[in-house]
Amino acid sequence: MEALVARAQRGDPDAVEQLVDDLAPYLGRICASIALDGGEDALQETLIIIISNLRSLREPAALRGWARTIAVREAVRIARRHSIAVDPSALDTVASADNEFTGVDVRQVLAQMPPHHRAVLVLRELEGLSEAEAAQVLGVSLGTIKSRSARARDAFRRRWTA
Amino acid sequence: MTIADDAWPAARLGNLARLRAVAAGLRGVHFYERVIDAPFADVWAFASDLERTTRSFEPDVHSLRVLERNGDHWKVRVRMPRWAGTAPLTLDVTMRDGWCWMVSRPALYVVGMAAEPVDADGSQTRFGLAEGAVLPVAAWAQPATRPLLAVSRWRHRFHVPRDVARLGACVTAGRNGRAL
Repeated sequence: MEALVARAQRGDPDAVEQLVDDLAPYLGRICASIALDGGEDALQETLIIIISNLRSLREPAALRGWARTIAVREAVRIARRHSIAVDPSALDTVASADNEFTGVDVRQVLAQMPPHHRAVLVLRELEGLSEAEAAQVLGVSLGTIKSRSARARDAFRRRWTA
Repeated sequence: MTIADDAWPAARLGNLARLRAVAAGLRGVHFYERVIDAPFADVWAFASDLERTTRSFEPDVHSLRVLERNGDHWKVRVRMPRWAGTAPLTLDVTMRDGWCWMVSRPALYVVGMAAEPVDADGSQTRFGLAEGAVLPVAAWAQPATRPLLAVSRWRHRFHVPRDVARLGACVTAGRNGRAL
């Protein structure tokens, strides 16, 4: 991946195309989990920002973390633009069949949360970041991450035990 | 609490979004898109028939010949009009439904086309074209290539929209039974 980034930074068109293809599935999951219906818009905006600013990335090995930060911030911004009214009561309307959430379960629970809570959940559960790392990505305090994380997990727990 | 990776929602990158993103990384390339009043199948059948149709919307091409076809990967040779005074270009092509990406060998010039239906009724197609010079060089040499790439982008700001308009006119004229 580092050699590919270096070639793309030089303006090699084959490398730029390959990099877009390599990043899209990874960033598509982050963008859709936070922006939901705005996921495709968020993914496109994220990739345009990443590719057009690639030359500013000093250390090619840092690509994934840099791309993740851009994806989370763009997805939150676009989710707010697409935001719909949250209805917490809908959380309890579907029963979970086992201890593992299906895609439908996850989307339903995410849809009941505000975008910044979804962002915390994605960073902690999907990306496996610590609270301190998630705070750094989102540019908020550790205390804010702890409270958002607790609320987001609580929403899933309620869904699990419904 | 366990959430499997594949249980999280996933967004897909469409052909046009992909072309916009790739073009954003190439300083000499200009991207333009518009809606063509014809179904995707008609637009793509026309755009992807490179040997027969390229000349009708791209006046900078005198002829285009497909040298090799290996699945999605083609090799084509393009001759410019005599006044252009340039040698023929050989380009590697990746051709899929709604996606065409052409890179000259050596990598000095790119052309990309992408198309998607606008909505479910399928009567209109969003078509994008990206084209321009590329000069892959190390970071220390990029200040020297920047003016050339800026000129390429400036020049293509005029002729890429013109070519997309011509392609759209050819497709709709063909659908209406007029000669292309």
